Amino acid sequence: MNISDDILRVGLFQVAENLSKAAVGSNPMDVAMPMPGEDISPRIEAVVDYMLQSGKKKFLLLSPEVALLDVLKDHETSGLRFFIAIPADISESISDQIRSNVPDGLDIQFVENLYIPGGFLPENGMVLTFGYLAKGYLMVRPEVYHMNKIHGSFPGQKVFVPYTELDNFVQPENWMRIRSDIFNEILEV
Amino acid sequence: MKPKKSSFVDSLRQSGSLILIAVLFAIGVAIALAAGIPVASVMENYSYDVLVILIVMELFTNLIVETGIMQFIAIKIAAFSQGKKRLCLMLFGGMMFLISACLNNITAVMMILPVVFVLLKTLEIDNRYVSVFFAVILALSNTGGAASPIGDFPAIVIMTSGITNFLAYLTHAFPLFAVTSVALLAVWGMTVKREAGHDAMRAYAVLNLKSQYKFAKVRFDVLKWLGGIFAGMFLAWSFVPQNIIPPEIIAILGYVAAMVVCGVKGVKVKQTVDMKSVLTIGSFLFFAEVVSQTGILVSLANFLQTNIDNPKILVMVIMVITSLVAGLFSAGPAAAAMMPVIVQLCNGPLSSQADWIAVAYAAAICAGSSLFMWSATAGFILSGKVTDAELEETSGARIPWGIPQYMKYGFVNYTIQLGIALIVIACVL
Repeated sequence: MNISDDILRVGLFQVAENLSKAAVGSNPMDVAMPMPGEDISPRIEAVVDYMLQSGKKKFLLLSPEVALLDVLKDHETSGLRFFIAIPADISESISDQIRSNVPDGLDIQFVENLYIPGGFLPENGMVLTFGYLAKGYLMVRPEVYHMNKIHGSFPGQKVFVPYTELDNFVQPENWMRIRSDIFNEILEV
Repeated sequence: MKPKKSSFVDSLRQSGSLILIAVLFAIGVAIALAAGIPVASVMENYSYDVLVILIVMELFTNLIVETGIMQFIAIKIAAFSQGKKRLCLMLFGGMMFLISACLNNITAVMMILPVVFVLLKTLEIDNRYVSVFFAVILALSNTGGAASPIGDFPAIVIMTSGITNFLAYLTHAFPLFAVTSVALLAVWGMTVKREAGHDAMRAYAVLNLKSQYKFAKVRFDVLKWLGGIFAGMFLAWSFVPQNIIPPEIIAILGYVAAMVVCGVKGVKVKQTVDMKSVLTIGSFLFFAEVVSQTGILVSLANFLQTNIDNPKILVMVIMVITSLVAGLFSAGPAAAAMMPVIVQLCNGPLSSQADWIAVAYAAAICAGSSLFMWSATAGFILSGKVTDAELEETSGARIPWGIPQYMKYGFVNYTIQLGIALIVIACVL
């Protein structure tokens, strides 16, 4: 079982949704990622609503959040463009799969690791970083941490989107703490 | 100096098949010249038709793959199996057999592997299961390839040799290889522990797979046309006499029609062919034609016929010899080299049983192809892909799958396949 690989391919929210749907107990997952709450679907809907009501036209997702795209495709998104950042150090097969696993009807472009898309400006753009909150600390995957080194300097809106919020501090292997002051907002849903 | 040596050895290893091609052509030319056979006369009888069919079927397979249907079926199978390992084995094995019967089996294997790997990485697998799973996939890609006259290289050689025709081969071979495949699935299926009821990890594995292909698209609008064209090719191969329209021309016409459909429908026409495998088979055919023109194989056939009076025993002895040649030197050379012996037999006392002899020959090559990793057309490619996939046991230990891991499974595959073929031939001849 390689949860890290799954997260790379479909994003945190989709993996979290699958774990909760399959009713996987917490034990085998603790080493890979904290278990999500019972039903993550309302949280996904809330994130999508937040994006659509933000007034922004361009969204840079630092992980391929397939679950979000699945909900977004059923909304009115004309004029909106979604960028998905692909880490440069992942295998070609994962990269190809991320690129092929997107819905029709959405304007989606892929950007390599540290490249900032053209026309992505503070007035129209938003960077979304996905992770979880543990006792108020922001936790992300290493590839997302590294991408934030560049995208964290984006002068526009930068939002941290947690898939779950834990009361205690949990840090599974391969998760990293990221500074909260690089974000304008931590989404509470 | 040491690193230089190792890089030279690595280069040799990587170029192994290219060297083999060159060596076979060179030795073939040398033998021809030594025996006083003009190379031009070798080329007059060269089986260009086999190469044409091989290339065209690979191109046709590329078009089918572009529609996304392979992944779609593989995902459906995985979902239907609910992640149960025994059912996965059975269903993917069955799929492999059916696809290999119609399309190029290497391309077929390549297409289902990404889906298989996603599933296996999420299920709790061990070394043994991986060995069984891929031993089944390898064996059933061979039986599928032999089940129809266009499935794999040996079957194409048989069809174009004139000892049987498309329909006769299909009606004799398909049932035999279907039964063999069921036997293989039953034997290997029994070695996998049955899992019952709901299991969260299995459920997660299937959900995860579905997510990874959530937006995968199938071009059914193109697929129905390609299906129609393929059915038309099948009918033409079955009912149009070879001397009126040769099979390779039917293949070309079908591919051209398919290409036009894909062009009109905006599907990417990927005209890529693995030229290394084409050249390898080309060299086998050349070498075999040279050997054939020396008359050695005819002498061998005569020797066997003189010393073995019972035709049934004769065919069975040739089957065992052919299977071992295929096992040791792989299916390509075996198919090309032993063909003149089979033709000689079919022109002799067993002419009335030519259809069954063709199938017996195919079954022997097929069994031999499953004996060792290197014997099968898809063997090394499959092994490389499994290694690259970095499958792990639940303990985190890497699962290797190569020549040593396949050895005992290959022996069982060989025994089952050859055993069934010998029994059937003993009964029908």
